[in-house]
Amino acid sequence: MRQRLAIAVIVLGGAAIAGLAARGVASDLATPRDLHEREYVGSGECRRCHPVHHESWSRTFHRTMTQDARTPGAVLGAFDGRSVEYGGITSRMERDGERFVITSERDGEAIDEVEIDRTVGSHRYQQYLARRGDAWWRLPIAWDVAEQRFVHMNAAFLTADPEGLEEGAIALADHRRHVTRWNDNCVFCHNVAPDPGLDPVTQRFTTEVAELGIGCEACHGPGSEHVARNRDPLRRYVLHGSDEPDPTIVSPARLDPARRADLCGRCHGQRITDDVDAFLAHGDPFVPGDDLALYSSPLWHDTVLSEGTLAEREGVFAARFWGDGTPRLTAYEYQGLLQSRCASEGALTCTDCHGMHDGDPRGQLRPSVREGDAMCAGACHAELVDRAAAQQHARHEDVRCVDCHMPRIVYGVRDVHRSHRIDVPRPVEDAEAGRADACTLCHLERDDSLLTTGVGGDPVQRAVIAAAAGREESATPRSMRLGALLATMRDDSYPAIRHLAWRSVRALVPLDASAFTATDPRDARIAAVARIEAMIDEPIDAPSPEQLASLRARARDVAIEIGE
Amino acid sequence: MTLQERRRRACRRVGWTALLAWALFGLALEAMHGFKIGAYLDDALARELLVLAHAHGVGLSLVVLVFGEAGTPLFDHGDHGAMRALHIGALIVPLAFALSSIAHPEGDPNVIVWLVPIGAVLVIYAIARAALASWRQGSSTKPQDS
Repeated sequence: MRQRLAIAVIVLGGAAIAGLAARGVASDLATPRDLHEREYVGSGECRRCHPVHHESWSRTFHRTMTQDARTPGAVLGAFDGRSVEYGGITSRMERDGERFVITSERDGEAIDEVEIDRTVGSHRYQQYLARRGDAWWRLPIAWDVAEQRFVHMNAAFLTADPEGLEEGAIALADHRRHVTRWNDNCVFCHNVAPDPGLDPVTQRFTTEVAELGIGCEACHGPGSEHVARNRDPLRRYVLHGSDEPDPTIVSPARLDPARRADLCGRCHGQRITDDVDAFLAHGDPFVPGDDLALYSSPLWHDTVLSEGTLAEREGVFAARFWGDGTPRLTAYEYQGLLQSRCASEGALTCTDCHGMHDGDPRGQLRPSVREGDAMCAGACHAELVDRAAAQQHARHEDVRCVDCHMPRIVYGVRDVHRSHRIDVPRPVEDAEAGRADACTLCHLERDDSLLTTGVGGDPVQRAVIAAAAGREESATPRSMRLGALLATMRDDSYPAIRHLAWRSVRALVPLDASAFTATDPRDARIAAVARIEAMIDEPIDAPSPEQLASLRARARDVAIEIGE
Repeated sequence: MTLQERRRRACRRVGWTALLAWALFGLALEAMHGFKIGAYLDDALARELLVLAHAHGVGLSLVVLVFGEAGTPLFDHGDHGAMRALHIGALIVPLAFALSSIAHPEGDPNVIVWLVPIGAVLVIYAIARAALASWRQGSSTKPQDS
């Protein structure tokens, strides 16, 4: 009898304690949190409880966006003593034990020697940072991952060749044109919780980030309380068994579409703030879940700066957009989405197509989006589920929704990407806006588009057409495309466009990437193109010299200092 | 058959049967390693739980056998449920580990794992009773030995 009583007391006591604890957990879960004042813990902490998500994140290029150069495997470039010559300046990349060093010289005279301290990027190309005192500086030489060779940063931005290139003697300032300070530029989008720490008096930086690269907390918010609270197993199991969110962390999947887009738009949508000084002194106050508009506004083609003369304030950002306001550089995807009816009327958001924990790391497209049109046809456009109806709608058999409604008209990171403004192609209106449309991208021969916009347009038009000419789906005769592309490689004044033309040629004819260097002076390029022409065993329909001269006279050279 | 013999037989039956079952279970785990079964190898937590189930199953089966041979003589007048507690605990602990690996949430076993500490308490209770009985037996026999 005593034994049974003891068991009953133990069981009832245990149940009472568990009930009280569960009630405490329920109360805790119902208490909203302000994550702004919480500490960050780093992605390593997340691994213990979220190994699958940690592993899928580890595969992404987000993780390796910024790395310490001493981290094993961080430096992708071949620092094996090879060198790059550009405008009379030779940069040599060498490794000395754990140190990665770039030395620059002109005519045998040393210019500088810098040690790589951090790397930025790992997907398309990798940039390098050197430290000088309180600041990190982006170096002029980057590593092209696809081509496995070093490139000068002047060939990544849409900028024209500097003076003196033909003579082999560019100014040092042109060599360093894109040497920019990391602390108040790159830091904001390539790390977790960036804080430049600029002292307004001394103008010195005490820059800190919670984690180099785009870690878990960039999207989920600071995790210190989440980690501490969830050491309690009862709390975890209450959460496992419920659909309620954990208020100590942000789950982007639970945010409404606009807040989800804000989360991505923080970095994939160039912004401007009225309080630049506060951003530079204390960092970006945004945490996931916030309304991005509380702290900054997206840049538009007609955005006016708040300081300076009217001439200095107006039209500063116009070149980054097509004439109709459609973004034409990467890192404006957020603006494109905001301009799309799919978002404003259909609640489409970034994570409908992009999965941060699934899909191919290149683009991080969800498998359902990568493989077909289920995203569009399954969601709002049910009438197009039927393949025959979709083909009739497109008037083509082999095109997908994105081919027409998200054409590749956006330049960035030495490539041309899909527009994130999802709209209907209107060739006449698009032509008036100076923008290549979906039809033109495949039918480059129509209205002489390949030549007019490919050679005689503005830099983004030329880049877009140079990339389009190498695509498999192009309906334009190969001979015509090859002729225009080779002419572009010879004569375009922008190394980034020459690079794209060369890449398109190699898409048509398999050739070694090292056979042409886009940053070489024109004489060297002419010689290289002649050798390449000799290697191409098929007709090349080169434009006539008169035609080219006439088109080049119409070309507009607009310097777009971003777009890397 | 005396009470003590009945207890010993019960322990032998439970112990050897459980040992056979968990040994076969271990063989199955080795086979999954050998044939590189993704469902087993790709889920580190599930794998760890299944290994724990195997280890505890084998270990506790041996404890049951030892209890049958060396523990039952300690209880002359009744074991106050020690043997039953041991048998139930030895069943619950490995089984709960194994079942908690099924459809578990990320980073945690499923809720069945909460049975493990309950089973562990039963096992410890039985061992504690045996330990106590061994001390008591030692005290009572001391004058006879001398």
